Amino acid sequence: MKLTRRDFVKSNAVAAAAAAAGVTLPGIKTATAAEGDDLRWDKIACRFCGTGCSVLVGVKDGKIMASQGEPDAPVNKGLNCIKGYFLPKIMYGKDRLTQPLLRKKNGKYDKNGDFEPVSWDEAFKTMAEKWVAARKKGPKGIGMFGSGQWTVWEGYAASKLLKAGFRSNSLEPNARHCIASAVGAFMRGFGIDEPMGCYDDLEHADAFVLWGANMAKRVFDLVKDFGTSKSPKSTRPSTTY
Amino acid sequence: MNVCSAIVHAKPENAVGVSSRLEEFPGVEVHGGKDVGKLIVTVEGGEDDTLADIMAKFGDVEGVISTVMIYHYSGEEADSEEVIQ
Ligand code: SF4
Repeated sequence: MKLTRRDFVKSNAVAAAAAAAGVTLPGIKTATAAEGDDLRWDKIACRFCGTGCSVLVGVKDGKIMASQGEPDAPVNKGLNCIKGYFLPKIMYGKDRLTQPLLRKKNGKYDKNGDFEPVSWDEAFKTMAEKWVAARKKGPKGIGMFGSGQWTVWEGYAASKLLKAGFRSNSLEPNARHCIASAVGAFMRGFGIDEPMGCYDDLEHADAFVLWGANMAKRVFDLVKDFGTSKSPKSTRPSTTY
Repeated sequence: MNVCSAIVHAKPENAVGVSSRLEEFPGVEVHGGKDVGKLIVTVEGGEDDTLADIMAKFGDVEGVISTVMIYHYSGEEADSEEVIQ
């Protein structure tokens, strides 16, 4: 049997989709696409939204050639949204920041200068100098702004470093800005903090009432069975968003 | 070579109509899944963002509930090269 590279890639693509959908197709073995090609498959997380889908990336000669939703991931179960299409491409965008830049005027650091590429040595040296100078003002001279995407251990290490190490209480995550307002609204609206429910609640529910948002377009992995055998009465969600 | 696969959800009773509407897009082929309302679709051809643009348009096709992307391959090698004989 003659098979061109296009046929081969296509049948891998079809097999992966059929496996994720649990559909059997005649003549297609439902294996993951990761089998039998010349790519090295690694695992990454998509950072384009808060769902955090697991993604497999196929690498050849050091370059990402293919991507596939990770079938074993409990949240996305082999699916990605269309934004996932851009995951390999974003790695090679021409506007990517690939080296440290420092604002400079006449070859020296200047807050009002323009960004110039510098070596990592220079970047770290400048950061260390500024930190040491700020420390001279006491605990209030320094601070750390962290991220809600920190792992528990990263948050723990940051707390220890800032509070126990530098004796400063100036430590904040972006999470405060993000969720503090939402918590206020939840308490007022529903009398309870945080978005209620979890993915499993959706699995067990018989009916869904949605308004103001089209979950099928925005939180697709939660609604993969909407309108199919599971909830035959559902109507097509609105396409306005 | 640019090849993508996706699952397009539709009610099983609408799936045949949805399939033919999807196949009107260039490079789109439906491989099965009509009976369960999970259409196995490939999109191919086109460069850069075309495939993503086409998949994004699926959402406006009558009868489509949602579209999820599964697999994407984008390589520069010749697609006619024979790999298995
Ligand atoms: S839903 Fe889409 S953008 Fe969000 S993590 Fe998954 S693939 Fe990425």
